[in-house]
Amino acid sequence: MNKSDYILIAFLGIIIIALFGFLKLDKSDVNNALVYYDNDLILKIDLNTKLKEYKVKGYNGDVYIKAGDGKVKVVEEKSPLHLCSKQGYISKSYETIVCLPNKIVIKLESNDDLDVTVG
Amino acid sequence: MKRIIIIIASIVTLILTGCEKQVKEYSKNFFYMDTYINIKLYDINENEANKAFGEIEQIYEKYQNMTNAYDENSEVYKINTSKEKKIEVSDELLEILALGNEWYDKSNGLFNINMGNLIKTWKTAREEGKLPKKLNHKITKLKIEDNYIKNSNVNIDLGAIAKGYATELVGNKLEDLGIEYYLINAGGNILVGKNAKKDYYTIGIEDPLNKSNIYEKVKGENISVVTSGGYERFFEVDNVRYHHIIDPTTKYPANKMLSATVITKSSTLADILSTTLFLYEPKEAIKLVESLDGVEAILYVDENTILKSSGFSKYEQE
Repeated sequence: MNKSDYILIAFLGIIIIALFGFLKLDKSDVNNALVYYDNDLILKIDLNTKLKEYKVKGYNGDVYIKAGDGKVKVVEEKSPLHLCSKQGYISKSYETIVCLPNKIVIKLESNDDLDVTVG
Repeated sequence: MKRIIIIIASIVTLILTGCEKQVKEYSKNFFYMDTYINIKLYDINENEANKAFGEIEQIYEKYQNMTNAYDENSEVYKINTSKEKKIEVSDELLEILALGNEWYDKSNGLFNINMGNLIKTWKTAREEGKLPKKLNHKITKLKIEDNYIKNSNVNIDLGAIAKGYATELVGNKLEDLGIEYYLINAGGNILVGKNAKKDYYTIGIEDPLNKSNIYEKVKGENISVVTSGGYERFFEVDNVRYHHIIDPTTKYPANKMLSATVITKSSTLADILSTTLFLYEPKEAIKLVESLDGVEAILYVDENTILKSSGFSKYEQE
């Protein structure tokens, strides 16, 4: 091995460490709230911000969402039973808000090990 | 020098492949059978995914239109309101009704698909937030002979079976299309095929006392997991909670446990059994599960009591 070999090893070593770092970074909690209408992602909210109100269009009219500080809830919507505004805040990756009459679904983006929940 | 490059390249490859496999996911939401349905398909191309989604939608739409007891155009509604003494039933619906009756017998009448009037009374009560005034419903088993129903008191409600049944057909259709990697979440009726990224799926079971907690995680492939509980659809009068799963013996919401979760291959059976177990005394429910092949269950009886069938541990996540 000559000098250039050592340089190459050091260089590739740095790349490997950087790759590790990048993958680790990629694995950190993202914590975005994803708001879908039917099948379309209509709003992505960064939850690592202050609480703020958002408005999206649902099937029955406007749906008001409050999100930030790692949580999200539906504040107001037009539906017979108001199930999704009664649900309150969700903050765990596996929780979902489903406003069936409004065809609005809010999911939280994360990197935990659960594929789906049942209940 | 070459050797070093090969070694380093191997390390980099190992690092990259050692992580979760990157597989293209196709996800679609449907709103059928009074439920939000999410389907995820993996390891196929876009055309195959779109074709599969089309077929899946047809199945849910067809069975919604057939089984919805509240839709004037559905076959179930027409049967329930028919004045005939012998009511003809389509072969497809008959298959579901026969399964319902099979489980009526196996559960000594606790699982009953012919108590729609009682369920409707409680549904109205829930919507109005008031207790029902009278519960004088006559509850009988559905009488089926050949392709005919012969009761005078037909009031079918397939809420405890139709979604699981349609989901099973969807799973079969995916297998027919050669799609092995999938996850179906039909409003708490979970059916999974193989996992394209790992060796299994991890499914969290919600704590009935606090929906934002997971009290158990199960892992598996090619299984269905269904939970029945009284904590999703309910109303309260004088601080007493009245939910949607009605016990035909008391005509009131069942109160033997807080939730029942079933794991088995068939999503129809998982759907039927989760409701059935919820109506049983917890220890009797476990006995019933032990008597069945390929079925496991976990019952959240109360804050201090969780019962599991003997083979449940094979699905448990360390």
